[in-house]
Amino acid sequence: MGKTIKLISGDGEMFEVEEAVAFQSNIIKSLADEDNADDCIPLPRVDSQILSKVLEFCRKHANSPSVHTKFAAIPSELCPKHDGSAAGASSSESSSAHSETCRACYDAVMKLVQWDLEFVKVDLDLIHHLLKAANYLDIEDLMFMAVEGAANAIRGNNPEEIRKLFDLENDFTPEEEKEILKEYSWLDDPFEP
Amino acid sequence: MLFLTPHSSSQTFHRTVCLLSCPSSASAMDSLPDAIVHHILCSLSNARDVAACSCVSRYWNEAVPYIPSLYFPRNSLDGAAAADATIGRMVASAVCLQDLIVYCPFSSASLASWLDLRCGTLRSLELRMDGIASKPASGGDDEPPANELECIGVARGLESLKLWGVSLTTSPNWNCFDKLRFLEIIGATLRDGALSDALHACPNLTDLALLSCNGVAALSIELERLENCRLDFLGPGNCSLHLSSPKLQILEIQGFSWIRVNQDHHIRRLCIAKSSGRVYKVELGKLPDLEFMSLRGIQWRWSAISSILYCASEVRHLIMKIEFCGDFDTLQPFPEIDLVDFFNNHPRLCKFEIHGALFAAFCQKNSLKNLDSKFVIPYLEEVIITVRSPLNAEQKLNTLESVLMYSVKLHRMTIRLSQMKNCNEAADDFFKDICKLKYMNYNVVQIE
Repeated sequence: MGKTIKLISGDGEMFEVEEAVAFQSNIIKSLADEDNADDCIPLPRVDSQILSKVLEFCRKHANSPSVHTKFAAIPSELCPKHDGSAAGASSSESSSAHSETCRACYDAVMKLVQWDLEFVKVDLDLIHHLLKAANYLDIEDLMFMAVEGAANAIRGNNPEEIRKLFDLENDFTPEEEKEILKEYSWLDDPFEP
Repeated sequence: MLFLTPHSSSQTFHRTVCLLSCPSSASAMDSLPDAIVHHILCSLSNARDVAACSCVSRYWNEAVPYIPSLYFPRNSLDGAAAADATIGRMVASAVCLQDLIVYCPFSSASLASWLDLRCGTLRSLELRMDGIASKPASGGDDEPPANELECIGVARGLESLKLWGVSLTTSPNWNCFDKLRFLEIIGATLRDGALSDALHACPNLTDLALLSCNGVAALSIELERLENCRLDFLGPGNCSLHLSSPKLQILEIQGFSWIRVNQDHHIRRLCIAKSSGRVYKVELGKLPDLEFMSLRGIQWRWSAISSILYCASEVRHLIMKIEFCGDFDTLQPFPEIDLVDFFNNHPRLCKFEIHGALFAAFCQKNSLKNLDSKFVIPYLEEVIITVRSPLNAEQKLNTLESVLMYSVKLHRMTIRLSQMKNCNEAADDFFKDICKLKYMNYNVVQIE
């Protein structure tokens, strides 16, 4: 293992992980910079069950390009098949020339996206916790995927189903309801329980 | 939304680090920070989903107008009394609308009103126009109908425009889309002048696609930033293309008989096809960056084929599927192509696919026995050969054997035997010989 970081969850469990994994979180990264390297970083707002899920995600993403980086920005070092023989490419330009045509890079990113989509195919409760953890720890890729997971839960559902999923109340006044019914007459009744 | 009071707290619609204190035992989604709820809603674009979210709660109703994308699928408003009005209301509410996609039918008058409203924020527009109900020409049959694309001109900030099933036969009178990078027109009826005017209004395009279009006789494109150009023009007619784009990397064209590309370019991927009619002339200048080339068609002039093969000396992946050559109407068979010359002129060839008549033209004009023993096909790894007839069987087998013998890296040769005409004894013998070839090179050759 390379240099590791110790993290303490809200319920007191200790997780020791490699820096590359933990530093996916901008918060952990900045806390580690400030603190004495021997100390553990406490994360009171994340309990162990969620933290372990978050770390699973971070482990997968630790040595991969962000799936939201445009392909042109994937550096050659992260290519699974790169053997340094990109013909005629100069080192500064090789990243973009490399990844636009590199099938291996493209496939690797696609695979990661598939993994991410499976990762967020979980119940909405867990997504809720992942959203809060990703926000709290400032992990961009996890936030993106958790948001996508939540959005997927909304897609295709009618308003009442969405309310149930997200534990929301219909707090419109009767006048407001009337307006909405007029505006969205083409939807199935949005206020039918 | 019109009838609710504005939300009083500040609204941020990008990811923010909100270290709000969340109740530790709460599991309800509504304890999510506002910014996250906004973020989730902004991931939606399907009109039905957006509309459903508007009806969920007051807070969601207030947040929905900030969704930046709206997509109306083909049948989304089927059965709605006034689809245009529905789209209009949703577009009117979407105060930061950046992306609008409308696949369901609409009228051009409505389109004009939507674009007028949102031209300030709109960055990407995709419209299916084959169902469009235009204003009838007010002056009777002589007056051409008002161009249904003209109203798009107000959206000056557009970066991407995609149109399906349009009629671009009169000038759209667009001013200038400075920021437009992507233009795609599919299934359109075009006229030279109208198309030329439209392209003049888009000087900064990087990607241009005109697919399944018809009605053009001559096309001239001069675009400084164009990198990716795909043109597919239907019909057997003799269409000409003149292209001048110094940054060009990908050129895929179908339907042109005369092709001239200004030689300042960086083409690495080139596909030229003509599925009916003839290719007469191709002028591209040198092709130093070429990696992939595909040549297809029924009939090409031999001079066009040989000149482009000459320029494509750097090519690594080559596909050739041309049935005949000939300068005029008469379909002619190909002159002989010397195998040794061909591979010497294309030394970097790594993957090669060749069909029927062109393959049959390969021969060894200079007997390989007399050859400099240093002849080698250095990088060829994969070959796909389609054989259509047993004529000149011996020559074809020689070619196959030579390729096998002189290719040091070949790991797969696929021989496709398709619709053998003249199915008779000669065909059977030929087939037997090919099978023998396969058995002798079983780890490399496969037959389909």
